[in-house]
Amino acid sequence: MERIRLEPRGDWRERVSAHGLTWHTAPDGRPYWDESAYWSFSAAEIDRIEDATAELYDMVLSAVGRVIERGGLADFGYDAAAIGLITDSWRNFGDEPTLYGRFDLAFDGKQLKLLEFNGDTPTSLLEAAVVQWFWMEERFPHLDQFNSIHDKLIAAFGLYAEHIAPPEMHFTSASPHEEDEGTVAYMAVCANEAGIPTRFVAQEDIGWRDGFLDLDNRPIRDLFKLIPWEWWLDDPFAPQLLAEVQAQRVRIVEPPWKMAASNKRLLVTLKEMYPTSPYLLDATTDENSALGWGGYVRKPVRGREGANVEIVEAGRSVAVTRGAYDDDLFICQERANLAQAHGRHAVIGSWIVNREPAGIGIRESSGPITGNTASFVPHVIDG
Amino acid sequence: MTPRRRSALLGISALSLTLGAAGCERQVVGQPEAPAATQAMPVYADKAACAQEWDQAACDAAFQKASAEHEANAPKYATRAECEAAIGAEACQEGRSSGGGSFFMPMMMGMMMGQMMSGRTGYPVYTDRNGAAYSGGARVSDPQPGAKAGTLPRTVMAPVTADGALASRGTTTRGGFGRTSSYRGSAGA
Repeated sequence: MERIRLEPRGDWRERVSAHGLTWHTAPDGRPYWDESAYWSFSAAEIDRIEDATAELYDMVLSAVGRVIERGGLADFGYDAAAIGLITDSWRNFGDEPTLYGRFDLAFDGKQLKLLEFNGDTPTSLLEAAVVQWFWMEERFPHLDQFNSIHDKLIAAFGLYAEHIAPPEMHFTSASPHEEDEGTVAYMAVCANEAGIPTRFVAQEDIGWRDGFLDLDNRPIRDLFKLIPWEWWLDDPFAPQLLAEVQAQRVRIVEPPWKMAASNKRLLVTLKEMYPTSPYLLDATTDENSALGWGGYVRKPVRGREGANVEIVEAGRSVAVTRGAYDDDLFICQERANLAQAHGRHAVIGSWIVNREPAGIGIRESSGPITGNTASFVPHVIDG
Repeated sequence: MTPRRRSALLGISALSLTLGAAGCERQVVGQPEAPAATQAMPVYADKAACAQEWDQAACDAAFQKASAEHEANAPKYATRAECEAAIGAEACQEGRSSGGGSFFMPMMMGMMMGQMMSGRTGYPVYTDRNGAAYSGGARVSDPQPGAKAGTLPRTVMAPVTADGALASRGTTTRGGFGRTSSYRGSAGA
């Protein structure tokens, strides 16, 4: 794999906006969509990512099942209500739509390691599924890309289309929030393509009167949310949410068990279950034992966007981010090598859609911790 | 090598991300169902005012029923600001859910006395920022011209069912999602 510099298209902002990516520039003026370079992979490298993604997803499912069966969810930081919700959801696995997730991988062309799994609210979806595809078609039409995300999302919605409670599926996010609303709108477009009528409701506008309602007081029965489950369980509507979901009066994508799948405490369980897997870094809840590893990363089990992450090398903190998760449980994970070039650190976001590896998107940052200022860089397969 | 290109970008050229924020106002109070009838109900700010017209035991019982109804079914808001935006300045009180979370709801400004076939009962009365009175999710009195905010009407015409019970529709509560987002930041991961 190689990072190659390239002159951006002169009108790249208009180009990517036309495909829905209106949040292409960070508040500080730097491009979030960064086409001043791209990553070029060999087919063999992509094969490795694809195989690892499929295997890791099966491992995650096995680990979630084991944690639930053994009553281990309290160690993940959940109270009795959340544990009941997750457990019921896991039992209803076959009835609850799960569309997608994103593995964040450290891959430098040699070693491939799982950093974490974002199974509840993965983002950079439109960028990966649509925007980089059109970029490639324009810049490198003779090359290929690991990307069938869009088609697979539509196919995944198609599986649920006939099970959606009539007359429609609702989609919600924070509002106003350009990125989240744009991402949710893209998901709704995919659902539409699969024949599902859709309606948007801002989370703040969801109403309650013996059931959840949208702003027109239409009942919400099937709901795609780009809100972490943990946040809603801290919100005033949590009691209603718990009761409605468990009575199966409302069905939510992603389902509650994705909380356990996305909780970084699962990285410790995975390592216990698959100690010889080449894809897993050492992970522990005991920071003292991590001190013996040399470099490790301490992160909150329910953190998002690289918040409250600390990198420790030889007992010394070498990088740290702030955030709103300092009250969470923490795990320590062995430090992995990210691909580096031109002063940038790259993390591979590898998408799983309906249990199948579906494509990748690459996030880059100047420092070793990938946060919410990381840029998105496109890729090709060449050779 | 397995083919990775997608076969076609169905519909993408028509991708129109127009699902953004709906421009509707948040609805605070549900519309009353078509009532079987209306009933004139006297309104009292407190038990003492009630006891000037009814015996004390009836007033105590009616206020107790109204308070229980208030605790159970008053519209609830995530923040004081949202509650006050809907109801009026200094018209909201804090409550706690069984799970320990806090919320805000309008203060019960008084009780209206209803006459059911089974006997007398009481309902909570709320007033909004404009001085209109509500109970059971229905507006039972328009703002009174010239009256101070929070002034209760002496009598309201309330919708009732065939057995004389208030034709309560319940109220739609909004704003119950999103408080955590407001301090956690972006939802994406």
